[in-house]
Amino acid sequence: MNVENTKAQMRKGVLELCILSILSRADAYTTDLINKLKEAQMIVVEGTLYPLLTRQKNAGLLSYRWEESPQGPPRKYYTLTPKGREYLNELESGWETLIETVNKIRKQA
Amino acid sequence: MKKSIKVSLGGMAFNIEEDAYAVLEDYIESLKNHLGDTPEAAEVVADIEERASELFAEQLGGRQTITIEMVNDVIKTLGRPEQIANEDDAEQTSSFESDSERSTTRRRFYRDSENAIIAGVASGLGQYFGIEPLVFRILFAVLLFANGLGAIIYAVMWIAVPRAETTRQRMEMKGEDINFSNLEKNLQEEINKVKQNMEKRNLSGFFERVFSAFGKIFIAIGKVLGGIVKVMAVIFAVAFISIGLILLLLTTISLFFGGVIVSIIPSYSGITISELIGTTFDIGSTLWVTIPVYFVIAIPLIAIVFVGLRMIFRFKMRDSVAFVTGATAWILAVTILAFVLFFQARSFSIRETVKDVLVLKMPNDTINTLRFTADIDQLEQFENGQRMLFLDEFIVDYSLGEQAIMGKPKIYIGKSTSDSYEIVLEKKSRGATKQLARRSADGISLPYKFYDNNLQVNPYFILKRGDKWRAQDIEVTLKVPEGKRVYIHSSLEPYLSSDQDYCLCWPDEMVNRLWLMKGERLVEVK
Repeated sequence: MNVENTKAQMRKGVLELCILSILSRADAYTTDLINKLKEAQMIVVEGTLYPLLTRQKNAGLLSYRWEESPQGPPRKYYTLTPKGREYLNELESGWETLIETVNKIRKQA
Repeated sequence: MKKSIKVSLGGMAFNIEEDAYAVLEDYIESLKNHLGDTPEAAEVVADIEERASELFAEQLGGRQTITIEMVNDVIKTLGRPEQIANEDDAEQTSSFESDSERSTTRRRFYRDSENAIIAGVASGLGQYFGIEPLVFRILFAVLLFANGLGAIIYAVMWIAVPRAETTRQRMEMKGEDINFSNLEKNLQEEINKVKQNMEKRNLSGFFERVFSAFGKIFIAIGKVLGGIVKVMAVIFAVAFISIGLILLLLTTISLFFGGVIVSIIPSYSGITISELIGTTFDIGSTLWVTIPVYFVIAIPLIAIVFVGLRMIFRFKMRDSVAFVTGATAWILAVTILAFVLFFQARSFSIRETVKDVLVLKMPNDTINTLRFTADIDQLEQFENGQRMLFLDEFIVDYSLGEQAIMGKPKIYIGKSTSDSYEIVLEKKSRGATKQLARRSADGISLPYKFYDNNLQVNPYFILKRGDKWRAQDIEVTLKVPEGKRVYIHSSLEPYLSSDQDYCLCWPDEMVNRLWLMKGERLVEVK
């Protein structure tokens, strides 16, 4: 057992929720997402985000469009789809319940 | 100065140093391997490439060229392929803090065709050892004069060693030295792996502590042993290579050029193995023997050299192909040799004897003593010993420019049935058939001189020119009539048989004496 591992596991479980909720406020391109998640110490290495984004996009939770950038090539801008919004709502309520339950257990113990 | 390459990454153009490019290429290749072969994976790789290009653009600032440090940095930010792939599998196993150290490459032996003069063997060697290729070029050139050995080694390496084609291979060619810290790193990795396995099986706590204590001891021992093993391996490898090459050289020279091996035979004086084989084998060319013999000896030697080279260089090669080729050639050579020897052995199967009787007519009947001597002046021609080989009872002589085979006669004293002295020559030879054996026996001649009452025989018999050695032999019997005498000169001592019918005495007791034939015995006359 390794405490860092467990922490990483915990972060990973809610990473999807974090991505969706960042996108629920505004469309973002990948680097924005990365910067926000890194700031919040949700991810350690950037590469891990990409498979997740692709999976969410393929599941129809996200869609993207190409937008010209001031410098360099066009960028991928991700948007939440209606289905993604629904999914996010469910995850959020799930998250609230989880916190409540966990806290309850912790206080009892 | 480093070579740089122009690449397009995520829609942007970059200048990247060659080694940095190799690492990046390796990373992306590995990423593809880890993620699998799905459209989804391709998309992820494209996204990551794009992000990498962004990070490079950031890092470059005003600079022109991407360096290897930048690449390692970016890889650290993006994460190792196994971390990314694990995320994708949605199952967490190995550590987040796995280091990105592995971008260094092990050094391998390749041909360096970019700096090549012929095929890049010497410059490849130079790259491998970090020495000027010129050293190896000179070495090859010098070995070229050792009967072309340099060319042979060069050709073998040309075939066996792959050319560094991809950037990755070029990296490996110049890669990291193999040293103690490497060895230690490998050991440490092994131990970490075992540790992780134990953790998985919940054998933590006590066992883990015991294990890590042992592990440390093992690492320490391993370091020492590793060093020793490494040094031993190099010593062995160098020994293999040098012994193999020396024997190979000796074999080559002995069989085809000179007589190094024959010189081990006592009283050697410059006859080659081919000439020696030519005395016995009646096939058209002695190459039928020397080439198979050469392969039978050389193939294992080449294998030894090869093993030695492998121990030092670890170049890539399809071993099975090399092994099968070598083994096939060896078996073929043994088979050819067996056939040649089998057919040759047949020419020794039959033994025949030809008997010549010569009556020695004395100038007048009153002479009753014969002086018997060996014409040892004839032996003088052998004294310089040039191009001549003394084998047991035989002499092979090339001093006159062509092959002459000579042998030692065996001399007996017998009793004549008539009133005259006689010499009986029993000439013996082997052959494949009766006729051949008889013809070969006929070819034996023993020159002699007979004048007044002197009989002087040659100290050696001679085979007819062109006759092969067939274990020829000659028995000379001097027949003395009853009541007549013979004086045996000391020059005959080496040729007298010690098994005389008419005298129970040794050769040294017979010489320098006068003998009388009386009844069934030779009696000494005082």
